[in-house]
Amino acid sequence: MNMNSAAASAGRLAAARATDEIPADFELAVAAQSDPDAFLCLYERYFGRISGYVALRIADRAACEDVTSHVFMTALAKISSFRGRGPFAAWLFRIASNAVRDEQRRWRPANLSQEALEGIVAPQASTEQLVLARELGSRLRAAVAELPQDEQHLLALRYGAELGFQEVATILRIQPGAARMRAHRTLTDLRRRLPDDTR
Amino acid sequence: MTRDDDTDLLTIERALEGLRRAPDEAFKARLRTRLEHPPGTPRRTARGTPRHGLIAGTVALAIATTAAALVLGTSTSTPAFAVTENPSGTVTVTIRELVGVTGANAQLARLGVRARVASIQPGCTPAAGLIHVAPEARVLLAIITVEKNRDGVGLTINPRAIPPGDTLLLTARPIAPFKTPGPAFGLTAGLYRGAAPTCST
Repeated sequence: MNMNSAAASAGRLAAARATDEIPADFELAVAAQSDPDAFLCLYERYFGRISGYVALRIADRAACEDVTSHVFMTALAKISSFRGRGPFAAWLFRIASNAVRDEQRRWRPANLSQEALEGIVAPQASTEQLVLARELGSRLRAAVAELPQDEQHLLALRYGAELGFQEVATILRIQPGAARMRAHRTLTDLRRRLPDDTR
Repeated sequence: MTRDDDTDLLTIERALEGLRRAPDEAFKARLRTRLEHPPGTPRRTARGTPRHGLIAGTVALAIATTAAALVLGTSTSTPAFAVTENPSGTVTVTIRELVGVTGANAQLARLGVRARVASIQPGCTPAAGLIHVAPEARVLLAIITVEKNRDGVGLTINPRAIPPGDTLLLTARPIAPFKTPGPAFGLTAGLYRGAAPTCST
């Protein structure tokens, strides 16, 4: 990104603010290189999607918060290196994907969530259904974790970050039809990995 | 592709969506504050990401949901729950099968370790009066370490790290084997006050 395009983006952001127009990610990302408020706009825009993405790939709540924090802190630290060669979302989710992979490489001996613990021993939550529902979640997570990283990434974008196939395709730099087909193939693979009694 | 296949995939899609959690607004606000006042470039340590107090809401630890799908061998030549005292003063509870909890608890009591083991069966009704103490995760991390070894799953407890008045409760529950044949169980751990669940075997 050269100085002229940065100045033009900053100008568009200022114009967007003046007219209440919703600024595009690109404008915000460029502006964020010198304007902390612009980064906070991006944070508000992407917090839910990033935390959803992370939650689909990491079971433990504390680890999810660690990773989500790391994603945004890294994005803030590196925003000046954002060149706009691709969509901001692709840049941000790449940071998220790397952070998740780093987290998955470590084995934490203690990462079951508080609610899972209470689901087993809390007096008010002792029904078999509750236990079984959580078992399904555990098995599904285990099956997702066995998928190749690229497929985990795709599933987390689609079902964790709740992106449409068009957005998923843009981030993965593939055609929407290909994204849809890959998702279908991955779900089929996931079904094959799950025991019969969980479906 | 049959209608049943489509139904299966739809079920999996719904289940995947169910893995998301409701946004934690308190966490979101804390992180926003950090972004407004960044301490500098984040450094990931060898042990993990910097927590910066963000896990203050985490009140219990347990043992890997995913990793808890531990598939065990079926040999009966050693006790299902074995309690071993280590020279360092720690105690290792090795779990092979979900039977024989009473003996393990008796051994823990004999060693003066404030820890109990409970086998939780589906539908189990825990004892009334069990009070969950809410430590930070690092408190429990200081108390137990977990490893899977050839004998089963070993949980090594540091009795000195258990806060006065608290009891470490380890629970194990049977789960259906996942892919690999053989028994499997899920483990949790937490600090409690009061009686252990009554549904131990």
